[in-house]
Amino acid sequence: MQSVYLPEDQLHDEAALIEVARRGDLSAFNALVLRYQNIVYTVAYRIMGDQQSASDATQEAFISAFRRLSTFRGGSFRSWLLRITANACYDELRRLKRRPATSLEELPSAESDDGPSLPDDTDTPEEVIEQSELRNAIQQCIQALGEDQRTVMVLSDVDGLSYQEIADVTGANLGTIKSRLSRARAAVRDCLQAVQELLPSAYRLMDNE
Amino acid sequence: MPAEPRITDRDLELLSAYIDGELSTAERSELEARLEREPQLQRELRTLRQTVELVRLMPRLRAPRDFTLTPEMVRPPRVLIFPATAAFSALSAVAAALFILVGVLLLVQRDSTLTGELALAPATSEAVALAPTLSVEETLPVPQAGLTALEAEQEASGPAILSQPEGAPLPQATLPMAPAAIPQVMPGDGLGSGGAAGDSLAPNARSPEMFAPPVDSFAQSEGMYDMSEPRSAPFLPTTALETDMEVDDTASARSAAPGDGMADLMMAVPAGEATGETETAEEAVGIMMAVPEAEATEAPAQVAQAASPTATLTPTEEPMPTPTATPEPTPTATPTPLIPVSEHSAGILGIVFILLGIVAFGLFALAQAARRRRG
Repeated sequence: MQSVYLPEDQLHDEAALIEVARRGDLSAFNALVLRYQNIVYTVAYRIMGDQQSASDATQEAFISAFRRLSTFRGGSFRSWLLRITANACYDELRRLKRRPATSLEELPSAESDDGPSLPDDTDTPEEVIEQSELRNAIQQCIQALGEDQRTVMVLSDVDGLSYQEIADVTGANLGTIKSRLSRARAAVRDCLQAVQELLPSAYRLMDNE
Repeated sequence: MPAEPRITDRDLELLSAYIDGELSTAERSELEARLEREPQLQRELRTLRQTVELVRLMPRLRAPRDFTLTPEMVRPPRVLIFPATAAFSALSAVAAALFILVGVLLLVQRDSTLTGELALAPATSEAVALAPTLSVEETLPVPQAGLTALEAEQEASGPAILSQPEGAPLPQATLPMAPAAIPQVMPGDGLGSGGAAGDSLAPNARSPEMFAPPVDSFAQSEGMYDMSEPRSAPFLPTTALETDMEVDDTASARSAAPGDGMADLMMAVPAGEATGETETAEEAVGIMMAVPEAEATEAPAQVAQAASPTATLTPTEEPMPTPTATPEPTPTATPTPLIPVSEHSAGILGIVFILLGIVAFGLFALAQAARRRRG
């Protein structure tokens, strides 16, 4: 750990990378960036709804993470990083609100498509929903949510954060989180049910069977 | 399909939390019991679950580019754009406090000089005459007392701390100190023409209402002349000049003493003290100088030159006593103009310092905001 250059095997040790990065080693931190940038970007995209804003939020999240690395007390680095990502998205949304130049209306529906961002090959479970139409429909339904509900739903169902972690990120209490999440899920469900007729029958999972 | 009529928001929350395993044991048992007998609730749960599954299975996206950081991205923001570091915040906060403290001290000094000057003004004319004779006598004692006086003054006057370094050597101090003292005294001097010398000497004295430097210089110069010519007021010339220069309070008291009502004040102050004060005055001047030096040494120097051509003499505050005996003292008095200048400087410096303090505080606020922004 003393040296900036770690043995090859340690380069794969996340804890070691974090430890070195914590001392200000940018190359070690960048190794973490490469490891997590798809996850972070995905979350940012689900919340922000367009590639540009998602990219900005992602970059800010990593910069912020590097600066606050000393506050990381162990545990799940992924959760910690996603919390910072959510905050970066919040900041970005606030910034966009202050400067309507990018008009808010664009955010939710501007990009109905996940755009250039492609499914990460390494994460095959998602291949279940390969259908780009369905993906786009889900993304659009998420984007149709209000900012608060959208953030909670992304943090919970895209990030997999616990209620408590979501409360930490958003500053809302657990009761509010529960309420927002349930309403967000119901809204997305209704949204999908409205469009699912456009989808292949294989994806008409929402109908009461 | 949409929410069944019977499904309430509360039911939605229960179902949602149930999916996440966030229900208490009791809540879960109760909900499961209801699910047993409420098909609508079951359907609600199933569709919600499917929705969550669909969202969870959403593909992870591939970052459109690498988001690796460059040194510029991490450091420039802090240093170049704005230092959002705790160290900078602390530094700026301390700087703000120091600047404002020094600025206030300078202004307070100036005020005291002003008051002192006022007192001196009346006395000056009368006292001035006396000064010459006394001055000689006093001058002698002064050296002795001067040392103690210096110490006392240093202690007494908060600013002394700054001056201490310079104040030590009387001869040396005289030259530098005179200019310094001048700036501060300036304002108050205008009022007390006779006491001008004294005023000028009392650089410490702070007169917020300070007059224009020119006025002060005049007043002082006049006062000086008066003192030397009309009457031989040993105290006033020498002491007044020196004492005033040295200690604000003492200076004023002394200057007053020579004068009418001032005399009482003077009386109050022990003669020995006065002499000592004179020397101390030098020290005080030195102090004053020191303060200006730290920030605006140039100001005092310039003032001294511009304000009082005679200022050249100013350097010799001690010499003053001897000259005081003769008409020449008046010229020596010329240093007084220098003193006024210093008072002026003190006022200006005080304001400048306070402004700097405000700027520093602004930086502190910005740093705090920047830090908050970056969480």
